[in-house]
Amino acid sequence: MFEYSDQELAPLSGADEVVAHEGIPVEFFYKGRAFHIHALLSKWKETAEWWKHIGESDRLPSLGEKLYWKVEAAPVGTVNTFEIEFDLATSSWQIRPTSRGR
Amino acid sequence: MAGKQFTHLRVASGFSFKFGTALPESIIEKAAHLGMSSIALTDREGMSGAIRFAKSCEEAGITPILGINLSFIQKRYRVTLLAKAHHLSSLYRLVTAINMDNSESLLTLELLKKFKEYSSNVLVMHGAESAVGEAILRRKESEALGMLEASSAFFAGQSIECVSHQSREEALFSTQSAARLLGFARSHNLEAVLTNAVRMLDAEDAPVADVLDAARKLVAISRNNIERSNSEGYLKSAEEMHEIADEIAIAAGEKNGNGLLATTNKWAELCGLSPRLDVGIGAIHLPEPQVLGATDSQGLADQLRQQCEAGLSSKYTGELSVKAAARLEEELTVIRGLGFESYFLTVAQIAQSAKSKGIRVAARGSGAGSIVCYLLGISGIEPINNFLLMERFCSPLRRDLPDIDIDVESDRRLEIYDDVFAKYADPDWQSPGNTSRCATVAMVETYKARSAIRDVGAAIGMSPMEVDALAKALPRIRSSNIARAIETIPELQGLNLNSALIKTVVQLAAKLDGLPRHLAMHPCAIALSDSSLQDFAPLQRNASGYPMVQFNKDDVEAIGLLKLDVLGVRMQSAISFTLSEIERVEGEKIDIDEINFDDKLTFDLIKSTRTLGLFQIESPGQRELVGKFAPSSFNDLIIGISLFRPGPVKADMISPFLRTRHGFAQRSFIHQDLEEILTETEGVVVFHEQVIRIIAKMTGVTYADGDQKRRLLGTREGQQEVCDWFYSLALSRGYEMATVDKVWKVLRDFASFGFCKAHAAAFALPTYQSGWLKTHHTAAFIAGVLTHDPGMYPKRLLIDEARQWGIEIAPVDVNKSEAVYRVEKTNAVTRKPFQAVNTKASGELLTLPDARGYAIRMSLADISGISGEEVSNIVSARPYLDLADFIYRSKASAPTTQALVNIGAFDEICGVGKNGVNRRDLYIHLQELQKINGNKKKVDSSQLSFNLLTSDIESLGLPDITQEEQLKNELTVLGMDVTSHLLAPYGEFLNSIGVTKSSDLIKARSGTSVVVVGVKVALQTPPIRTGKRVMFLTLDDGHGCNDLTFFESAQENFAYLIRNTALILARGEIRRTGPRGVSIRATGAWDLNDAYSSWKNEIKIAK
Repeated sequence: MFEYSDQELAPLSGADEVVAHEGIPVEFFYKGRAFHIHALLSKWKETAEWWKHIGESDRLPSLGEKLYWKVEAAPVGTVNTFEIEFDLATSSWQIRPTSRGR
Repeated sequence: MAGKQFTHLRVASGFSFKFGTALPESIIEKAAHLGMSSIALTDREGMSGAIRFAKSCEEAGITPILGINLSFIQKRYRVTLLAKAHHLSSLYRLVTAINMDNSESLLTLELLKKFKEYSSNVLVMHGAESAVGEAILRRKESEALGMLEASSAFFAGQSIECVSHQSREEALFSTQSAARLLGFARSHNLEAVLTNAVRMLDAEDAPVADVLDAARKLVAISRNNIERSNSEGYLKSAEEMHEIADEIAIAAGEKNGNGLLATTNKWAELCGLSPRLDVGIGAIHLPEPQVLGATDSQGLADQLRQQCEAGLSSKYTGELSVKAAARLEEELTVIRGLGFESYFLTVAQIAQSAKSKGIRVAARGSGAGSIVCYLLGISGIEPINNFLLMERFCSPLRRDLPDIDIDVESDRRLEIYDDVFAKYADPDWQSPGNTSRCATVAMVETYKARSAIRDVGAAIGMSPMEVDALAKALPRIRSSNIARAIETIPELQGLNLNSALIKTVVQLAAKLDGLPRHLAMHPCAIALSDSSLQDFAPLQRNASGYPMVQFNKDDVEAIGLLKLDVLGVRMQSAISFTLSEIERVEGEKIDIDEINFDDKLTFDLIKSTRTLGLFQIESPGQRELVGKFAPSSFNDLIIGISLFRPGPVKADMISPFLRTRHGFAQRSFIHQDLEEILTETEGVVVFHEQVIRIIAKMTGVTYADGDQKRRLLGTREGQQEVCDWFYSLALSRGYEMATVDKVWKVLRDFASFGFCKAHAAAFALPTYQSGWLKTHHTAAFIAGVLTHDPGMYPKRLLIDEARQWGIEIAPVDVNKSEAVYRVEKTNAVTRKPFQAVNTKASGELLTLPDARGYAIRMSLADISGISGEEVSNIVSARPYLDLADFIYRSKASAPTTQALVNIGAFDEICGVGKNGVNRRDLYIHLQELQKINGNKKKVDSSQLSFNLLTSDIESLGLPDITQEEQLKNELTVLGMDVTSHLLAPYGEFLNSIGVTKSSDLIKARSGTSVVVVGVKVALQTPPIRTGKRVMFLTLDDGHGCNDLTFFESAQENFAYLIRNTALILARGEIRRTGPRGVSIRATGAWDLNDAYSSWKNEIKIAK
């Protein structure tokens, strides 16, 4: 039913701080830089391999379920804001860079 | 949030064997808790949870929906089928048609074409695991459409099933996959429904699901072997399902999930069933009058009356016949009122048909309480004189079908099945509209301690040896009790039970407790009904090829099918064989069912405690009781059988009974009104029937009411209810408070230990019959017991028993032995039988039979390693001229031939013992023959065999084998000592140390210290009243049995020895327990061989 790929993506170090809104990640800090999430591509839930932890304590190991999001993100500031203008009379385009927070 | 509704259309319970983690009852409990108004059960491959599910639904006020999840078109694709409202029978019949076609639950287009009349009342959901779903997900939309079109004509409706477990994008149960299926449905104007593909009750059950996946696939748990990727496949609430609906719909480009939910709801309404009308709970289905040769129900009633009245005139005379006629009227009225004529006539027809084939049939259970059963020949027990009540069996106050079990000869049981199927079944099981009226019944095997430990251990990769040790040590208990059992079982101390691993295994095993793991055939039940059987139950073929309803016996009763237990009883086979041997040898035809019940000689034999081989009373415990009790009537046998059960033993009902029986105590009836009821059991309440009669007597109600009250006594709440009712009625009828108090106390204490007298009486009948046969035809009876092996003891003990009665044991002889044990008349009488014995306590002289003049010929069947085919080949090619002739014609294997030579089966035809030829010469002769035989294959065989026929055996002058060697051969080949008793070689030693023979124990005073010896034949540790463990050891010494008791103090030193040693020497004190009751309180035990060798050494030294 579920096809599992063994090529697990190793978590990149430094992804230790996530800003979330109502449980959904919005921004995160990675390698010292703030990233903004622009699109949620997909999310899923997966069990951990609880059976590998049997015998480590008297209790049944917890299921260790994890939530995953696949997102498109870019460092804050690397995304530029532009203003694009179209003149209806002359049918010409004008592009002016602006910046976030100006 | 209140008011949100959702119906789960796809739910797998534990009846999806080794897949679902929850029982239907638990699913309904949670569904009710979640406020659901309807829910489906769609187990994989089968519908055996249906009745339990529908019953729980009815109790919870939830509308049941029934379906099945199975393979469609190809084994790897699955769809879910749902029965449309009022059309459950169509789904059942379709499932039966599939199961009769293939054993893989594979629905094919061919089957759909053939059974369109059923499938057109069935709805189908094509989800991500279906062929359609796969095509959609692979973006082959036209292929998917083609498939849907191909099947659309066969079903009442098709839908696309959307499931999201929020798995990874590419998985079948991801939101993205669900959205794609939904999108497909939308663009092609198809209906789409939402399910959660439920297999768990709660997310926490996920480890159980993983263990079951591993157990089903016989592998250890790993990512690749488990089916779930997360734990979302649980029974979610309506709110949770609404969120998922939104998520899928939005992913498919819709505004919200309302459309998806509305269609799901519509489908739920299409499929809602009534537990009563559709599932058939509480109905009654009995064979129609036409099947039994009547035109209508009045005709059936007339037929029942006629048959009973015919029995009345042949079985009753004089005063009793008046009573019997009145009793018959009463019973017929009750049966008429319930409409159960067909039930009695059907059972009678089956019993009579078996009897006409010469198969012995005897009713067991409460049915023996009914005079109708007696008159129809279903039961052999006369109910009036035996104080048996019909109300215990069948009552106007209970609508349930009564329960009749019949005991038949074990080796002919399946003939009865075939007979029933021939009469009540329509052999073309697959034809649409099949009108079969019978099938075998399923039995659900569930996880218990051992099986749970095995599957959990294997799933998590424990070492097989460790799993095995743990599982084997566990008693047969529920797996939820393992943790407690581990603390109390000393044998488990060797395992590292405190290890974290084992603790976890035990916790996991406890979670499997009670889950079904396999559907097997019930070992003896047959269900009968009217022609609508297939409308109310799905069938499959079981391992033995018989059609079987997928329901267990409780389910079958719940939907009102006639359930008949046909139990194979080896004793009935033994009795039947005995009778045929008597006829063959003596030319005397005995009707064992017509013998008198007051034969003094039979009771003398029983009182002597020489009851080995007798039904029900041969165990050491029963022999002890029989010795104390000295039963002298059929009723006494019934009492003895009723008393020797764990309940009465624990409650110590036996001692007060015996004290009054032997006149040591005064009988007390509490009140003179009860005297008539309690006289037969010396004032002690033993039988259910007595409880019913006491209640009826003191309150003035009918027996039927009395039995209702008796049934209530089983529970604490019921007791309180009966208590209040009993006091007020009994007091109002003028009984004094003190009397009512005393009677109530007796009823309360003893009702739960009481036994159904009709049941005990049914058991007592073969007990008496076997006693009668042993008394009057000892050799034939022992031959019967040896042939059919019905009892608890090893055959060597029966051989020894025969010897003690003066019967010769004729060794295996290739020209005389057969597959069975035969009786031969003989003039050679070498033994003295038992003397008539006198018991000091009662002064009564017991006359024991003289069985001399007969021999029992050992059978070929018990030769180790011989096959049934070899036996019949050997017998059919007889007679043989000599060993060479045997080798060439018998087709017996070389090891079998060698074994036969070793035990002397050729001594007679080869002239061993004549002209100085001995067994050793025969061994050498065999070796030569086998050498030639090895070459024979290369040359023309007929020539060689012809030449060999003339070869004579010559004496080579070698010494013959010794008695010890002969005994050793017999034990290796037959597992029994035939030519002499196992203890024979120790005779000199045993005499020198003054061992007492078991037959002499009766002469010794109580308290005398004795040394006894014997071969261990039984070791039991039954529960006793104090809760302390007592070991009962039975030693056979060639003169009878020594029964020894090891109390706790003696167990410490000797338990290991008596468990692990076969030949035992023991010391103890004699305890006299009754007229013939002798047991030994053991104080020591030794290994006979150890004692023997040290004695031999001492002798050597002395010499």
